[in-house]
Amino acid sequence: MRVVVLLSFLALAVRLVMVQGLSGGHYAAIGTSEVTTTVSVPAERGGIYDRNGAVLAVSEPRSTVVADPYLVSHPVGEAAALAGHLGVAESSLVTELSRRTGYVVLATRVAETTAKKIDGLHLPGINLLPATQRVDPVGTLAAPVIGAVNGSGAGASGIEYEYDKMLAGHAGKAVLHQTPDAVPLPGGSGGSGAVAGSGLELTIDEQLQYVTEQALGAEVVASHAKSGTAIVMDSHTGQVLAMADLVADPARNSVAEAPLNNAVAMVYEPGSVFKLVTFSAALTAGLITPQEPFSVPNTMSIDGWTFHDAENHPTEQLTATQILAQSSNIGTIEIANLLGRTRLAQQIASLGFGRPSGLRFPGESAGLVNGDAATWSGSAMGATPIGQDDSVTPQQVLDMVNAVATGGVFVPPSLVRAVVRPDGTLGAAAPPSTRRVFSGAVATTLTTMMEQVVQDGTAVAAAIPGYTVAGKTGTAQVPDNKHGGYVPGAYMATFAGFAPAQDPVLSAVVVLEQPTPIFGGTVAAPVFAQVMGYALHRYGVAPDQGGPGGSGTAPAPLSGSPVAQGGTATIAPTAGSSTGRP
Amino acid sequence: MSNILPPRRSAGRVLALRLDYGLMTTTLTVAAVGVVIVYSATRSELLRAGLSPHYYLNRQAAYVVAGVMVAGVLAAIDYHWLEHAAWVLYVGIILALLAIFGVGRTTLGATRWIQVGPIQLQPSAFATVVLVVSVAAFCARRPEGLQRGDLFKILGLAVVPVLLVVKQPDLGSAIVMSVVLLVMLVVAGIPNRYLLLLLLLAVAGIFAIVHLGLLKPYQVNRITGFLHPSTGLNSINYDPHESVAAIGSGGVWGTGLFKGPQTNLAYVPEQQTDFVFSAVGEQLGFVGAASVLVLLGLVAWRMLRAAQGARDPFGRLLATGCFTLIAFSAFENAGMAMGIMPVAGIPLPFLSYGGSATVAFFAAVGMVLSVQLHRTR
Repeated sequence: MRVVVLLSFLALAVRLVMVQGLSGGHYAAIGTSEVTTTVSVPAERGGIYDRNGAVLAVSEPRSTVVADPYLVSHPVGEAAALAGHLGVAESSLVTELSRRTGYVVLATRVAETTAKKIDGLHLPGINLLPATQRVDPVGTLAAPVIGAVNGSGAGASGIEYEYDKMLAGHAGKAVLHQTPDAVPLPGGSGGSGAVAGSGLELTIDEQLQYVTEQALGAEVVASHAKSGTAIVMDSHTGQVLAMADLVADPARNSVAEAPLNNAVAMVYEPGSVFKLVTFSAALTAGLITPQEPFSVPNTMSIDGWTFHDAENHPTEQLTATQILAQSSNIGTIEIANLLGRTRLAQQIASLGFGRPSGLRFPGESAGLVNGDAATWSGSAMGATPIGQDDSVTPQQVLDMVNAVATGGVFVPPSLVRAVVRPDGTLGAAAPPSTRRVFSGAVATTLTTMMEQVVQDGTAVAAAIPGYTVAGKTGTAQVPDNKHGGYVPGAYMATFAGFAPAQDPVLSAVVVLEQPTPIFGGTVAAPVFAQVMGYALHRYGVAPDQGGPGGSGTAPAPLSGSPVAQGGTATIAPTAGSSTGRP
Repeated sequence: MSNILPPRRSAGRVLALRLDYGLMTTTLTVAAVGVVIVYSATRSELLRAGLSPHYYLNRQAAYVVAGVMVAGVLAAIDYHWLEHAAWVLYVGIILALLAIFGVGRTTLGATRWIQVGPIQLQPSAFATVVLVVSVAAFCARRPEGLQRGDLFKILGLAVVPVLLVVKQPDLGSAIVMSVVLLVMLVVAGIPNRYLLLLLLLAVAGIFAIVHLGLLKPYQVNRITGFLHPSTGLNSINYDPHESVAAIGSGGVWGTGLFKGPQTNLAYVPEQQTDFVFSAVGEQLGFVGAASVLVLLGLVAWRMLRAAQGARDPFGRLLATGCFTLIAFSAFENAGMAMGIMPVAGIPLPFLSYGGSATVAFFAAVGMVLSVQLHRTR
């Protein structure tokens, strides 16, 4: 009997030594791994701000309210207490709290004030988990540019996607205790902290963006266009001040933000605005002068295709300036023939067509350009010089026109002005690497010719009282993807230009898809005038022509450092004074 | 000549000297530890549910007080009275076990409790104690040893409560009753050939039960799980696996009272009742767990001493049965918690939460104290 008892006791003792002494570490590891769970602590996502520091998108703390129904003894009572705070029907809360499970999500994205009240109720089985929500205080303004985050808070489109890594920061880790039902409990320890993401200060000016969208939207509605795109750019820095993409919403007789940033994602045949390529190349080659006379017939046949001008006319004598101002197709083709396809192709490439803009915007298109002139079709020398072969983006059109504004310097566009580090300091974006694409003399000549377009050419509606304006219209047919050729009656209307013409500060492009009337000078030019007129006043650009100008409102500085201190002077020394620049 | 003999001691003082203070203090100590451990194993979950954390603490403390009172009464009365009351107790417990099938309350799939006023009683917890008294009373009348006829009578006596308990189902209590019976028969002087026969019968019976499908699936799983410890850690072996992990996590010094994450988060099921040893192991470590085992060992050792020192067969058998009840329960429960015994619902004496079991274990100690106290004859 004693032997049995002693042996039994010994067995327990040996086992106890084994379990707690020899294998203590092993079982402690098992115990720790079972009892604890490592959860990801989301890093605060960096905000997106406009060039003046206005908030465009920012992450705000929210709470997810979860329940462990196993711990809820009085579902009805707790449901009654929660219903008002969560805005959920009491009956459905009772159902959720009565489920035989250990984890039920009752509400997501609960505001912090509400979360605090719920926390104060000390309801058994009800837990709050930290979360964040992306908030756009400006509503849908510039939505296609800013983009959106997905359900888990990661960038899904636009700037949010392009700069996701920088904005997201690095998630931290926290070691929490968890119940046997795997519900993490608050108040854990250990783990590493989250590193907040950096914010972005965009080049966008919220105010100008608003005015641009209003003006563009009104025109989309008035002209029954399918969509509209407008970009305003600081001529000398390439900083995009406004980038609007709207689509018609016929049901509401209104407009909505486009699903894509058409400014860089939409390719279209630009039409006559592309004639600037032909003219700039011909001027550079010394083939034409502004007053060079041309005999322009009504039609011209090339490789079996008949090209004609917009309106029928007898053969007439036009100067090069008149050809551009009246947007004569035949005259431009004549100039292009002097130039030859090789030099034309070189100029197309040189002005940035067929290449990405440098914004690296998600979904951006390089355009559809055949850079190898040797493989062009027989009729190409009729279509390409007048903008009917190559497909381009509105941004590429603006970049080309802007090269005229800058005196022949191509300035790549930019959307980000500075990085806002978590500690609040700024890291200015690198200045754009510019390149000369034609001489200042060519630019000056082209500018004078483009002024005629606005003064007595196709785009008198682009005129802004008090300022000289240079620009070019484009009214191009829409290719028919199904049947070949062009869609009957469908046109893309473009106006691109800059002001003040003799000392440019701002460049802009406006594109309307299938408007009525169809002409860029009729539908796009007025939007340009409206937006540009506002912008010139806003940035305090002095009028360079008689008439009203420089209203009493305090101008917003376009130049200078990014809003917070710490920027460098390399960004945007533009318009403070409109005099004194070469 | 003056009287050099010391003055004759009064009867009361003799009794006081015979009282086993060691058994009393170790029992009270281990019961006090039990109250604290039960509290530590239940407070967190009660708090999480928004309830008073003292619910189980208050009740277990009350059970210990009740148990001490029962033990005191049983120690005070001469244990020979029990010999005469044996039949009454036996009939009473059989009636109580039968009553369960009529008015019993079901918890966790087993019908083991009857409601008496505000109190829930678990008759199976007392059945072993009553069986001890009954068998001791029967065998005491055959001091020369048991014959074949006696053996059959005892088996007949025992099989009724055992089967009633199995039917609840409360296999754990039935196992304890069988082991206690076997040990008492050995002490009572059963011929070796019958002992051998009984053991063979027991083995055959176990096989028959397993293979004839008399066991419920969970009972089969417990045996299979014990034989294949590394399988089914999330199902059939979850309880012992978690228990061993919790005990092992305690290491040498333990996590500290109220600081054991697995205990606080209730990772081990039934950690205030059947698996209370895991709460001891995690929170108090090897030092605490070994101390508890040593305390229980001391209790068992004192009871064994009392059985050996008993002056008559009834006292010896009574103390032997009580010793076996506590020693085997402690061994099986701690062994189960550490994974060297199969899972069975047998409480750890004085530590597992539960009124009937606590009172029954105290009753066993009370009867042993009485056997030591009333050694006159």
